[in-house]
Amino acid sequence: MDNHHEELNKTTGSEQTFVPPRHWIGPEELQASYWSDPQIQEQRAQEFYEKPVEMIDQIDRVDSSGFARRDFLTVMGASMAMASISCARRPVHKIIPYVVKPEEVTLGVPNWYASTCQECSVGCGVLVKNREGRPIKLEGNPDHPINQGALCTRGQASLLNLYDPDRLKAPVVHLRGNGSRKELTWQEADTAIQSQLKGVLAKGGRVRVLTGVISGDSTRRLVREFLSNFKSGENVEFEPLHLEEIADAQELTYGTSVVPRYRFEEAEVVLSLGADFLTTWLSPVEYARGWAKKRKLNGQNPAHAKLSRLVCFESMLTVTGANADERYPIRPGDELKIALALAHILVVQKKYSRFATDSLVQSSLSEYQPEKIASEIGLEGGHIRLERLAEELWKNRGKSLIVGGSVSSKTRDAFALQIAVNLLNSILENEGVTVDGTLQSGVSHSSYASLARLASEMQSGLIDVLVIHQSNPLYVLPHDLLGFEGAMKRVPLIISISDREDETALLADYVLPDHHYLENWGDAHPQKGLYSLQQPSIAPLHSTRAFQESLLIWSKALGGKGLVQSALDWHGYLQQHWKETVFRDAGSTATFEQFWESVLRVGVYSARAGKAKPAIRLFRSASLNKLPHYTPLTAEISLVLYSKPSMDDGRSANNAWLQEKADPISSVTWDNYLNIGPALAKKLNVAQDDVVELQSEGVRIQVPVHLQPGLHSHVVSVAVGYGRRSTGKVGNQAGVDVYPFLQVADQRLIFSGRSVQVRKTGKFYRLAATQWHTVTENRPVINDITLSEFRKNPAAALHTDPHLRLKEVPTIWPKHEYKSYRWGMAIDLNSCTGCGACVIACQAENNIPVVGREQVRNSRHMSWIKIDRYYSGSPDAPELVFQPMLCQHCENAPCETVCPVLATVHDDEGLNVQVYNRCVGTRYCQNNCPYKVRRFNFFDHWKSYEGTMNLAWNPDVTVRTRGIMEKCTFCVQRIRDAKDKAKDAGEKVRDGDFQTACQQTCPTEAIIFGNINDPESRVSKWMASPHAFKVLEVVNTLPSISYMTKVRNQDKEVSRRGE
Amino acid sequence: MATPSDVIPFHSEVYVTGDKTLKDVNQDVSNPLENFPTKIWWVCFSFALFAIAIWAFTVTAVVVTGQGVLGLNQPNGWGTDITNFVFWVGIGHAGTLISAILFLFRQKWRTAINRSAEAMTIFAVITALTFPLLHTGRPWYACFWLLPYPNQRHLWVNFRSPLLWDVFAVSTYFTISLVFWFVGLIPDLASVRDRSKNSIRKFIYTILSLGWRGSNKNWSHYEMAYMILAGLSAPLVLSVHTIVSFDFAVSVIPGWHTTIFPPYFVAGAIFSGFAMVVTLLVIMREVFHFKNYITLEHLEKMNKVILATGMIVGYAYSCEFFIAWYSGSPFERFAFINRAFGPYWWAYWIMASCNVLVPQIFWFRAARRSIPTMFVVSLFVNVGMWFERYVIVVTSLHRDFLPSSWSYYAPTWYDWGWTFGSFGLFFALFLLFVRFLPTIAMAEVKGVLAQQKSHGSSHQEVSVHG
Repeated sequence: MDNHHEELNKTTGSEQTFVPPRHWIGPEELQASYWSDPQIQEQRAQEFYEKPVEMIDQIDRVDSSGFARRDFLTVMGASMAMASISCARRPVHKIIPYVVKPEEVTLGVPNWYASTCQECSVGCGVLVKNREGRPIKLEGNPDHPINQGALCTRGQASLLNLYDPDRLKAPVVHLRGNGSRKELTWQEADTAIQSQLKGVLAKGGRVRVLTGVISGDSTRRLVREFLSNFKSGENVEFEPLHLEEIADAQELTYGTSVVPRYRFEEAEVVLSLGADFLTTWLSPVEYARGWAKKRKLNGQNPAHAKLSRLVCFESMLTVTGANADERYPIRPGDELKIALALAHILVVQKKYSRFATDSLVQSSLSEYQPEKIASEIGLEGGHIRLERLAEELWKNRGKSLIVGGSVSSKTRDAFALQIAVNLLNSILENEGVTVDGTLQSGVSHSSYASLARLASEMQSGLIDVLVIHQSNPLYVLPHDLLGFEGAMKRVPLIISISDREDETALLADYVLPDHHYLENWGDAHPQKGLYSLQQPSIAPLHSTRAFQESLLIWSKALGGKGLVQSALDWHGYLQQHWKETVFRDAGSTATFEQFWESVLRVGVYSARAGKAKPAIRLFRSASLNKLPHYTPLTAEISLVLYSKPSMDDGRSANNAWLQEKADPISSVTWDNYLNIGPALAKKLNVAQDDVVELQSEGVRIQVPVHLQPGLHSHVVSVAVGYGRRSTGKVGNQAGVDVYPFLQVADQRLIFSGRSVQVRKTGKFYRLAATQWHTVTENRPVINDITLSEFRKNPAAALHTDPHLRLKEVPTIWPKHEYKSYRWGMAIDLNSCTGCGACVIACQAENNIPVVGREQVRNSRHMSWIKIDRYYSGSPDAPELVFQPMLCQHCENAPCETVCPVLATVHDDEGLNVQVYNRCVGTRYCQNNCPYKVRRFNFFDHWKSYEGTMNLAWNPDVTVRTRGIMEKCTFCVQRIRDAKDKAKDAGEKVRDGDFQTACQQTCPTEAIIFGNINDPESRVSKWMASPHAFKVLEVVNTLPSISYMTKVRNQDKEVSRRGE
Repeated sequence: MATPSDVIPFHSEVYVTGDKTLKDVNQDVSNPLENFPTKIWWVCFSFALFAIAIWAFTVTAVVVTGQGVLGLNQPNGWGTDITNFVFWVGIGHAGTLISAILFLFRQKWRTAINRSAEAMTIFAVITALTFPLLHTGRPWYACFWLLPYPNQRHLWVNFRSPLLWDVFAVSTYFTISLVFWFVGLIPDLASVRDRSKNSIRKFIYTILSLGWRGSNKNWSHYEMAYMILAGLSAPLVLSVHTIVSFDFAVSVIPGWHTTIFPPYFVAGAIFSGFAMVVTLLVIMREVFHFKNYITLEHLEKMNKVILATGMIVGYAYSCEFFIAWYSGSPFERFAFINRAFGPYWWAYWIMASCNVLVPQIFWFRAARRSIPTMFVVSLFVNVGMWFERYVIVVTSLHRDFLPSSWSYYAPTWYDWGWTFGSFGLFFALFLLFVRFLPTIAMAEVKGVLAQQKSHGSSHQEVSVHG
């Protein structure tokens, strides 16, 4: 108040002429300057001289946001009103059609793109089925000479890797100092990397590119060109399971470093010394198909039926061994002894072949007397068996084939084994006939030696940049081997180009996300003159970039020469490379664009004219110097490491389809385990699911036990590829990592033959198997006979119990009528190898969910097709038979009568159809199914598909909710599709117009599907064959599936039947 | 026409002891209804509610998460769900047998026990009915899709399926039993009404007793209705469990596919039902002081039925083995050998010893008349009969035709939860029944009392009044 007075007095004193208003509003009105201010005068002239909104606007504006309070309230009010509006009713989601539809896309109609499978380095051709722009199924490319339309388990499952939610989605930098991790943009990553590369270039540093085996020429060229920028650049290729010793031995014995092509389709007798060529060895799809060509018995003229013979000596019971006519369990390392003993018999004892006069050969083999070897191994039948086998091989010389060596036989003698195998093939005149060494492929060879050299260079600080792509040494190599982890710390710049932050990538400075192969361009050169193209079938799902694209961009930035300079991008580079090589060599009259387009359409280009007879290469006897001296194996228990057909080296461990794929032999899912034969288990006093500790020279690993018949009594085996530490939610810590048991000798990785101790821990771990009972209990489920029995009477094994087998069972019901089609299937047990590719094909095609380990343990696996495996004979050397079991589509279906709501009914084409929408889930149909092929959704299993995985669903097939029953539909969506197409063309569906998913992928063509109303169809002919039988025929369900009796090509003496 | 006084009972037995007058009957029977519940009642009821809570939790989990929380798998599509269903339906059978068949055969001794036996039937069937609904994967559809209701989509049910026959058999059974029970209750409800002092109570019982006046006309209509309903119920005793057994017998599964099942199931049902009645009556006569109404004579007769039906069941067990061998079918043979000596041998031998061996003690009169003995035996029989259904359901499924599919079935806590909870449901309903409704058929007891008096040394004239 006092202040006010003072101010008032001051004002009045100084301004004499100014008469202040008597009533004032603010003290400023008492000043003359106020009234003279033109702004104020203008303001006061208005009706409301103070605009409240404007003023408040100025006062309220928050500096930090520049947003006025009132505006804020306005907007908030509006947005709340909007929000409450949208709460009031469900938002309308409109399906937006393509406004400008891509020309090639028709909604609901799949597009097929030919490409090349990159899951392994074989280079099989695939056809990618695309629906509305996303790949939903892979099928083998029938025009591709390698896989001829089939695809293996892993190939089928590689689709899911594309949609793996754990893929790396953006570039990442790891700071070495504090171990922090940051996401980058590609721009940032490139700038940083390129500047470092330029520094390395300037100082003349050393650059290494560590990759897996590169199967494409253009990629290899690009890597070479990238490295050529630097003073010292080298590409190191390393894959742990690669059988490098094959090419090395070829080089030593024949002078050419080549992985030969084995012509199983021309071999009457195949002897496998540990080579699981049906599922894991070299090119399994191709070999399985070739082998199966000689295993088909159509039942016509049975007295002269011919069948090839397969004899196996192996330390682990593999799929190949399971399909052998004769199989002998041995210890790892015995493969070599068997091979040399056979050579001994042929050359030293029988004096067969030109080698009989070769003194070097004679002397090298002298130590390997069959008697000694047979008794050391404890071979069933003794050396007589070996002699008979040698005689049989000699009789079939030029028509036999010896193959040997795989991961399970990678002992210290693995290289010698290949020499011995080559020797045998040369003695038996198979070289140049069934062994084709002239088809030098473009696939390079992995080499442990070069990795070791790289490690030592890194250790001594010589390497400036390491680029890693599709190679994971930190997972594979044990810590004490090479010390790769320590060596990586001494490399200033490590760039990992990977689809995920795997064990090795976690130590890299930059991790750059790679394309999945279905998002990328590429090529493969699987055999001489055979070029396969890989094309993207989907735009990249994430912010990923191809390995090749990265190398190209950096090379350009470094001012690289060669194709790098002219090519715009990786696609252009690939085209340019083809133009310069394949197109040039083709000598085609078409333009390159035409040529390119035609190859792209087919997926493969073959420059091979006709079927050239391979040249016979001469065996260099001097190579036998490399054979070791005979030393008996002394290990009480030898460890065998092997690779499973589904898991391989563990690269796709995050693939839930593969993890849940039942092992063909053990039927166990989700885990690896120690296989122990029954005799050894008894000795060690261990039982199924006991956890044991494996111990060998300081390496201790605990692993659950699986009792596996058919193992040698001094052998235990366990699969590699499990126990991943950094691969994703699915694969992390699934199973146990047994790579620590790896050893090195002569610059080679040693997988097997290590002496181990097995100790019981007293703990238990329940393995999740899909089949608990392993014998048929003499039930009419499986028919198996020997070839001699077959020749006498193909129907010998059919069940002829007079009580149970009636020709025509009377019925009070009218029979079903099938006016047009009646679908049926024939499954040839004789060529079914049990590999299980069909299981994954079915899973992909029919949206079969993954249920997880715990549910499999509780016998709730969902596979519509399941490979049953039964043992017979003695547990030490059992015989196996595989039986794909799926809905039999019975004519008298027990499931149909008991469903109270008619959710499962018979259609007029013989299908037993399941109406998901109608099913209430009483499970009565499942109870009443004698084949137990119905699968109940105990939970909403489809929810296990996360994020991008949902793109993998096949839109043609319903995704099933919980509480309902499902089962094989005979791929009814494909039947529908084929009928629609036939109708459009005004015809009927012809035999072979379409295939079911399981049939399509079968490497051995063991599944035949078709119309059994048509007597000329293939399936009808198979079904009419005298050795066709129906499973559990006595129940009178009248299945639509016939199985062909399994015929073993055994000598009468060997036959265990009737014993 | 014979008047009641002319009828000489087959056995001039004493049905009601303790020289009860008609007034005493009303007083004794209505006593539990008209007084505040005892501590024992509250304790029992709390236990029952606790069990219901577990049941509710389990059922919620099953419906909300899925059938996967149960122990079911492939090939074991059914487990405790159907075991409990058949068990409870079987329990229900004693009630109908006692009320309908014994009524038609003029077995007067049933009068003291028929009311509670019928109540037990109703509650057992209610309990049983929860299982076929909840065992389905999608009960929200199963609850009406299993009914043949007309609809625009022309969806219809499958009349070839035994599950559908079940729907009709059990629902018919439930309806008839309920009506039969209620009709029997009417005169007694009127008595309770007439005794009521509280107006609300009076109002409720007035409605329930449907205006019963106790007139001759009332009585004559009542007797006729009761007779007709008894006649309708009688075949149901045979039909329901026959049809329940068809769930198994009609299938192709070895161990299920058996023609002996219908009579075997009916005998088993009566066996288990009588055992449950004995269990309940022994407790009830103790707690409510009904010893003069539910006498040792009653219980001994029940025990004789248990002995007889137990032997029928035992015969069925052995006959199955014989037929399995005689059929020559390896599947059948295996199924039965596996049942007794396979992984579920324990369940089989629990069943066989509880159902066949234990009741043999009833050959001795002293055992038949010993309350502790019969109580223990009845419990054993209940356990044995539960395991009988478990053995039938599980051992047949877990190893059927195709050996590759064989797998073990182990119930989970959810299975035990709804099994235990179902007892809670049953007992809670039963406890409410004893609290609110006359547990002994007063009118009928009065009838036999009158008869008894006219034959004995009566010291008092009696008049029948409702």
